[in-house]
Amino acid sequence: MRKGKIKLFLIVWILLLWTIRIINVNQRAVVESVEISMRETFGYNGLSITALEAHLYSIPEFESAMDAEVEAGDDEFEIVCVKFRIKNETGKALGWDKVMDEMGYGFETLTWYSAIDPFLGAKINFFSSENLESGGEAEVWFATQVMKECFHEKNWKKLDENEFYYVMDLYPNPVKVKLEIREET
Amino acid sequence: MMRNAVLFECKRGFRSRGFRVSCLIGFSICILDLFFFCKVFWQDLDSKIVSQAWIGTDFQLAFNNLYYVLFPILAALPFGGSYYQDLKTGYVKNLCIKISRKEYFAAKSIAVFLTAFAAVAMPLLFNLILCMGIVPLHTPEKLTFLNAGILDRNLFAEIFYTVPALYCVLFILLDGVFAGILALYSVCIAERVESAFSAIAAPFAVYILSGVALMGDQEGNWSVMEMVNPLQFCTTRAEQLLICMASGSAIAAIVIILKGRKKDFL
Repeated sequence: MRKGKIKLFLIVWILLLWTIRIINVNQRAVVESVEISMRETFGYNGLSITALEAHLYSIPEFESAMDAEVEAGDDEFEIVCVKFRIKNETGKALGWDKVMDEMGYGFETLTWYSAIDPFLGAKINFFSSENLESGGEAEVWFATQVMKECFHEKNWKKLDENEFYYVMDLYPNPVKVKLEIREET
Repeated sequence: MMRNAVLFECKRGFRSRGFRVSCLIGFSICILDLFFFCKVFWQDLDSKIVSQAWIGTDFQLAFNNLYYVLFPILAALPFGGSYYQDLKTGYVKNLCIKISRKEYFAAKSIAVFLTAFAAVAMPLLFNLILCMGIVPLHTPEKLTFLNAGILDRNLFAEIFYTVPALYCVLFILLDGVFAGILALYSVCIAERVESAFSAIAAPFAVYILSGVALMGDQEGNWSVMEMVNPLQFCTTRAEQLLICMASGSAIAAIVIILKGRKKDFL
C-alpha cells in the first residue's frame, strides 16, 4: 500500500515538473510573424521591395495576360503570381540569380504551399542586362502552379476565397506578404 | 456479472506478459526516435517544433515506418492470442461455468480492444508529451525543411496548421481505435489457427497484404496501413476512413457474436 502511494506520488511529481517544462519551452520560444501588405515597401537584405499586384489565373487567363504559353499536359491547375518592384540598395550591382535567391521561399495558404516555379518565371520575366545595377529598380513576376490534386473538391471550387501569402523569409521570424487576389480574378 | 467479467478480463489483459512486451517495444521505438532526432538536430534544436519531432509526423528517421509496420503486432500482442490460449488450455470452460458464452465473448472483446488501444496509443502519447517538453508547440511553417507535407486534400489539414497538438491527439485516438479493431481479428480467427503466434500474426498479415493491395494515391485510399499513419502519404477521404472503420468493426463484431451464439464450450 505504502509502495503504491510512493509510486503515485513520484508519477504525479514527474508529470507536474514536465508540465512546467512544457510551459517554459513554449513561453521561451515565441515566434512573431511579420505580415506585409500589398503596395507596402519594405527593406530586405539591401533590397527595397514592393508587391504591386497579385493574381490567381486559370491557364487561358494566364496565357492571355502574360503572353506566354503554359504546358499543362493532363494536370489541372491554376497559377498564382505576384509582381514585385525591386530596388537595389546594396551599393553594388547584383546578378539576377542573386536577386532571385534573395526573393524568398514561395506561396502558401492555410492548407497549401508551393515553392516559386522558376520555369514559369522564366517565361514571363525579360531582363535587358545581366545585373540589377546599384540604385536600379525592376519589376519582376514570381509565379507557381496551384495543383488541383492538392485540394479537396469542395475547396478547389472556392480556391479564390483562400488567403494567399508570399513567404519572403522564415528565420528567425517569418516574413510574409499578404496577397490581394480576390478582386483581381 | 457482466461487469465482473469485463473487469476480470481487462485485469488479465493489462497484467499479461504480452501487454508488457508490446509496451516495451512501442515505448522503445518512440524513445529511440526522439533520441536520434535530438542527436541529429542538436545544433539547431531551437528552431525545431513538435510536429517535426513527434514520431507520427517525423519522416526524417525510420522509426515512423517501423512503428506503423509493427502496428498490428503491437495491437494483437497484449491480449489478442488469449482466446486461443483459453481454448487450448480449457480455461474457457472454467470461466463459462459462471458466465454465459455471450458474456465471455463480450468481456473478451472489450479487453482485447482496450489493451490494443492502450498498447498502441500510450507510446505515441508518451512520445508527444516528451516532444512537447523539448521543442515548442508552434504551428508548422509550410515551406520549412522537415514539414510533414500535409495539404488541403489530407485529413485534418486545417487542424494540423492551426492546432498541431490536436492533430497528434486525433491520430493517436484514430490509431488506438484501428488497433483495437485489428486485435479483435485475432479472436475471430482463433479456432482456425494452430498456435497463439498465428492468431497474433493474422492481423499483421491482413494489415500488410491489404495495405499493399489497397494502397491508394492522391484520389483516395482504402489501405488501413496508410490511414493510420499521420504522415498521410496517400490521400484518405473522411468517408473512406469511416467506411473502413465501420466495416472492419462490423465484420469482427458479427464473427464474435456468431461465436457467442453457439451452445457451449463443453
